[in-house]
Amino acid sequence: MKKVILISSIFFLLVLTTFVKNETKEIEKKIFLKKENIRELKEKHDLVLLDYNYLGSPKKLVKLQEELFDDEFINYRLDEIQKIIFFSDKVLFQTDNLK
Amino acid sequence: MIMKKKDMLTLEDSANGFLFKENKSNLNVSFNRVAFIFFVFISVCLIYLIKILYLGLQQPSLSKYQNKQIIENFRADIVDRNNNFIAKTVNTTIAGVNPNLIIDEDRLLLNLKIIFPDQDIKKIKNKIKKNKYFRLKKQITAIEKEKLKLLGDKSIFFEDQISRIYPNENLYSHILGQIDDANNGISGLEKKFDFKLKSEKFPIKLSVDTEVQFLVREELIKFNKIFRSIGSAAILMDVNNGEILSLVSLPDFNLNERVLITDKNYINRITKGVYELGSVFKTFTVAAALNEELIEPETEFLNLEKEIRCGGSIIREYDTEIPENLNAEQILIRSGNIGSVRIGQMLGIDRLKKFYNDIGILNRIDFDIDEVGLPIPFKWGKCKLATVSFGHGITTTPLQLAKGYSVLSNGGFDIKPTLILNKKKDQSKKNKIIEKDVSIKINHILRKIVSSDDGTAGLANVSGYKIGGKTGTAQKVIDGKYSRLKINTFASIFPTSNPKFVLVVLIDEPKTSKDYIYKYRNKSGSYKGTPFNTAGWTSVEIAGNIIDKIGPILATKYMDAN
Repeated sequence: MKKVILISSIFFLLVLTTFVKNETKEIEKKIFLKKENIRELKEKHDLVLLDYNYLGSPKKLVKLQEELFDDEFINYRLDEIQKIIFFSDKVLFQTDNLK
Repeated sequence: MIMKKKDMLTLEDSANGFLFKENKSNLNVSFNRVAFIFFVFISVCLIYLIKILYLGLQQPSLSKYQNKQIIENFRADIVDRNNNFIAKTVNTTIAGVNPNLIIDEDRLLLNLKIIFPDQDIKKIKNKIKKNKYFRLKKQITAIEKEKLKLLGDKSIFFEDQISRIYPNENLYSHILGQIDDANNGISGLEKKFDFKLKSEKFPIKLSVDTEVQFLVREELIKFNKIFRSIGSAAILMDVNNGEILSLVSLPDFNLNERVLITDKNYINRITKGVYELGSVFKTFTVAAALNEELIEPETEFLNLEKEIRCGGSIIREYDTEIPENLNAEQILIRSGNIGSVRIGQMLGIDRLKKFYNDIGILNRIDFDIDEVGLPIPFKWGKCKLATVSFGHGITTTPLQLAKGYSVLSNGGFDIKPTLILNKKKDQSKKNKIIEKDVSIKINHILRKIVSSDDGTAGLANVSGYKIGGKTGTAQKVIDGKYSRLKINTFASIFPTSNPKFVLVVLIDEPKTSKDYIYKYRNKSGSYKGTPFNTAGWTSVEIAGNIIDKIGPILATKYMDAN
């Protein structure tokens, strides 16, 4: 009886080890794939960020502002602003000389 | 009976005649051998112990770098303090051809003509004839690579290469420096941190702010045109921890165009340029005297001469209307030369020299880039003491000047200027150079130079920022002689109530402008044309305009709301 128990437990452990090993391999594979995906996404993110940094650089923005809507902005000096009014979704500036 | 026994004992004594004697033969030799081996063993252990202790006491950074290795085809990125890329490495591919593996030459050439219509096919044909591997095209696009792969030609090879991209082009040229084709840094941070960039995966985070840097550069470019100068420079630094937010030197160059620069006008004027900066040194003279408790701001200096003779040269006031009687504060506000000489003479050579050494004006500064100038050494004497007191005959770099003004304004603590973002704030507040009350007094006087009518820097009195500073107009030394050309400097700190930033603006060889309109800041009205090409009309105006632009950014991003 003892022998049967011993042999069956060894057999059970062997089978269990095989399953655990297989499962571990699967998990390792998934981790590797995830890591690779993250690396690839990070590379893409860095390149997109580089594009953003280039296109959103102050030089580019000033150039675009001058080309597209320079006349739509009014320059106020800080000391010209008397009052800032928050009205609904808008922010209004009250100045000495209303332009 | 007793006698008998006695005789016997005597007999026995003389018969044996035994005396203990050390056997010096065999025993001695074996003992010495053991001692010798033991001594050798102890010596070896001691040597190893010393070596282990020595290695243990070594700087951790050294062992850290010893363990690191250069990663092939890699160079870490550089970001600004807001994590914007200012230098980025991208992987590129080079397409090459091995003529020995070509099966159908005509077909290959035809395909190459279709993929690369701009390439000269005749040249490629000539290269194929040489039967040696050659590079077809550098930095091919992903689409071009895909098309070449689809050809399935075994003679086509791909080499992976890295390419350095600077999205801000000229903006950080003097800070970042350049790299060569073999991925080696040859100047600036690229050179200084070459190993770190090639061995560590993490980007280097700088203390600079791209928005501030851009605005400073724009103003300098604008005023270079107005004052027709050959160059200009500005540095903005945190007075408490030495973090540099902006460092601009003009002219600059586009980092993406790898060109060899030999023109000396392209030097980094902030770190490499060694200049005689004139009256900005007077602040140091007054601060040294205040620190030595020789004077107070109210100390009167009576009957100041209009000119004094020293050796073969004459020292005279720049402003002929300067009064004969001035106190120490007024001497600095009105930039009096003779008054500064008197304060310098009170200090004496040793104390003034020590003060300059303490604040790091006279020696080469240890900085994050290698392009650092060495202030010209000179021999101290009575006349030298006089001239040095008002900023003539003494040279330094604008970086060291900014450091000096930081020490004067931050409460007297030594700082180390840096381009690398410090994780621990205010970590450099270690050595105290001047007393806090001296620093407060100096800040107060510097504020008056900008805010009072007598001061020379009224054009920088931007409302709301409590700017203080000192002007310096110096004649440029060319071939060892003073010329009529000028170097104008304005060293400013703000806000003077609790200084946070130092801004030094330098303009090289400015000329007067007929058309430029100055808007007064201390009074109403404006003035057309530059009357004099002095610092008060040039570098001060530039600094005022810079602070006007960057002030809101600094106030919202970097100032604690109290």
